[in-house]
Amino acid sequence: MYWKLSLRNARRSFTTYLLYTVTMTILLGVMELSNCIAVVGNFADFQTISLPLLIVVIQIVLVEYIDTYIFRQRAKEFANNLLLGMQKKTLTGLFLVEILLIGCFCFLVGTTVSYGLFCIGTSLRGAYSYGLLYCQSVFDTFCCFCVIEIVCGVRLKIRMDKLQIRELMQEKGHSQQLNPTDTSTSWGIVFLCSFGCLIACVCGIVYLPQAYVIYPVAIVIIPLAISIIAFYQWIFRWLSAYRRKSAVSIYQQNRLYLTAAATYNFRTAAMVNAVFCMCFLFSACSFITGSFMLKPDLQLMEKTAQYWMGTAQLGICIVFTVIYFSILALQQVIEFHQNARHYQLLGWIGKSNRQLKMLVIQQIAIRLTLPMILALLIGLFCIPLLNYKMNKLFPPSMHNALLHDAGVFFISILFFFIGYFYVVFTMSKVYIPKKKTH
Amino acid sequence: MMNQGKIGAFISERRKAKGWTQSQLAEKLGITDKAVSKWETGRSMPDLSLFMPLCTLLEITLNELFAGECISEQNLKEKADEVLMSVIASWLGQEKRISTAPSIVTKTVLDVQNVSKRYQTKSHAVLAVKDISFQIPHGSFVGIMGASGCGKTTLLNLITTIDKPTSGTIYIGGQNIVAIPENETADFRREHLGFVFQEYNLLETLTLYENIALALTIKALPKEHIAQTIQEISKTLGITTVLHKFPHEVSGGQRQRCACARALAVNPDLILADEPTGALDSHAARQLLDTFSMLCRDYHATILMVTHDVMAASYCDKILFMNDGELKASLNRECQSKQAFFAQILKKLEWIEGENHDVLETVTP
Repeated sequence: MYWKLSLRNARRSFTTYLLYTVTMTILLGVMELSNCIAVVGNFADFQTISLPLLIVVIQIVLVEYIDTYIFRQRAKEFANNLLLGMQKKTLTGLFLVEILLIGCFCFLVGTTVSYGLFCIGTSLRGAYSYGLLYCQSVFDTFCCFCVIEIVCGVRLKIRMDKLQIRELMQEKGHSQQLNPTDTSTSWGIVFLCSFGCLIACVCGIVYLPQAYVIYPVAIVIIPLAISIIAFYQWIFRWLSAYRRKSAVSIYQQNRLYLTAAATYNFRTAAMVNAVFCMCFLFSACSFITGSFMLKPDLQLMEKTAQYWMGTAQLGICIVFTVIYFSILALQQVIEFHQNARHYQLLGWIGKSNRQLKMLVIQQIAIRLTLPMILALLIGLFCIPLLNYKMNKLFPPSMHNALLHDAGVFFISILFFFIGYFYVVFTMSKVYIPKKKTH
Repeated sequence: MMNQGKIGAFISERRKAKGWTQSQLAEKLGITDKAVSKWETGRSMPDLSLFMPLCTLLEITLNELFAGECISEQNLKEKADEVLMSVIASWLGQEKRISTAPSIVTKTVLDVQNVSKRYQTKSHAVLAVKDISFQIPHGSFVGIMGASGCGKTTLLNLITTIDKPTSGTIYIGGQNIVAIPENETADFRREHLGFVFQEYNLLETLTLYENIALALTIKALPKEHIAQTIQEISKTLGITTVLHKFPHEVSGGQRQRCACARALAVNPDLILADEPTGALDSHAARQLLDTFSMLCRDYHATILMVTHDVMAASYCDKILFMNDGELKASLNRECQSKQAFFAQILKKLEWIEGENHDVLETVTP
């Protein structure tokens, strides 16, 4: 009976599952693509195992986010099942098996499509065995998939075990509230300090004698990671505090709605934005490294190896850019779907279709640009400094190459942004109330 | 009103007639002696679940229990009506309506003239609203009653500019809303209408305070006045203490009062309430309806409420009865008390149902 009930409820939550499946498939597809790059890199004697590991960490955060989404959507149904007499252990088991089965389906689709795309996109003819590449990359993806499922499954189980029926009933509307003692100032100080350290490290790389450059290079990642985490914690806590103060300035145009949407689950939002900021930075670094490797004037290693390295870096850049925009776009579509009733209600209380469209545009723009704000800020400070250093190191023909490559990357991102923006905006039109006619 | 003392004495008399002690009666009902003692001394009434077992044991009817005496066959009907009225009175309260001065000429806020709405599908056409006309004066509380599918919500959609009528005109505040271009309907709703829905329809990402503030922001009220307006309105509606809570943290009644505050804060010409008590318990429903009455009486708000609950309808000044898309009848409360109006509504509903039944009987051979 429980199976029948679960199946019927799953059919009812078709859209929710569709969004979940698409997100998981994209994530696992990207994972397979990065493993293909890593495996081919190994064939060419490059150690690129850190790439899938990095993606695993990012994906754990993202899978946890979508698991939480689907759990919230169905929390009330779980509470009803418990009221009907189902054991919590059975319920948790059923839900985890369901998530696992969907995950397996996404794994099969994602790996097959990505492997196909990789083979089409690269020229492996004769050089490597397709079978070997497929077996090794799929095996690696499977291992990563197991790690992700275990970590996220255990966390989900702990969460489900903790929640009582009453809490499950209210889980969908549950919000993360700022404690009165929780202030944004401390995170602001952490950010400013770590950002100062980051700039100091970059200055060290640029101005220190060549023999000492290794030290700032070795530690630069620490202030970078702390700045990113602290920045988003600061921003979201500040927004929550601003909203809680009910300051007069919030009551104009769409500020109240947008601030509420951004800070409703501010802890999760801060973490997700920090992860995407890292994603964006990795993408930028990979693009610039790849472009440098492919420059004929630069001779760092054996020509074929350098060419392969450059291509792999550009591949990594595409992987991270696709993760960045696809998941953020899906996140926004999920939010539109969840809040579909909001737009109808706003229409009832006097927002015109044009104003609703403007609200939707603002939401999409904020979603897609918020994680890259800090990355752009870091770029603004660091790129001119590093360009100065490179001008000193490289021949005149390569002067200002970093500025040029950063510009090209920015233009490429702009194209990605416009494309994804258009797709999300088109999809969002479904949720804006239609005009009635006679 | 029901006389608890009289009921208690009657229970005691019947028990003694049976030759039982209080303990024996308590044992038969599975309750304590103390409870029986409290009933008999008029300090409490039996629980709802015990009415029938108690009547069976004492060999009396439910009417006799409420009347506190044995009812003879001759005056059974009169006594039964009396008992029903006393139950209704204890349920609705006893207050009499305070009528407004008749000399004051009130302007018409809503004027619906010969409105019809036809939905055309590929195979057939449905006339959801048939040639309806009525007026609602300023400061009145009007209810629309009718069974599910009789066209109440369609009519409400037409009045709220969410839908356009096939024929007829609707004037709100002197403006023909049928002639308003599609892209200006939102402006009209913002300036002239307030909404209260059955399911509250508060945004769950916003606190109650922010939900009210959002409506004021959309109306572009000067931002400096927003806090003051919210404080005043929340005080009137008794939600000051829960203003900074999220909708899921407060009771259904408080959520609905917040929805009222949101509707009222923008000072609309007309507040439209679609089954506002549908999701509330009887206590919260009465509180909300008292609030509506107070808003009309003290703030001259004009309210149009769609309902199929007779108790809710008894709070209105006027009731319009709809059936099969048509306006079948109307009732004015005038100076009647709530319970008298309640009884009148019941009679009218009975009449409408009877008419339906007759039609069915005529059609069915």
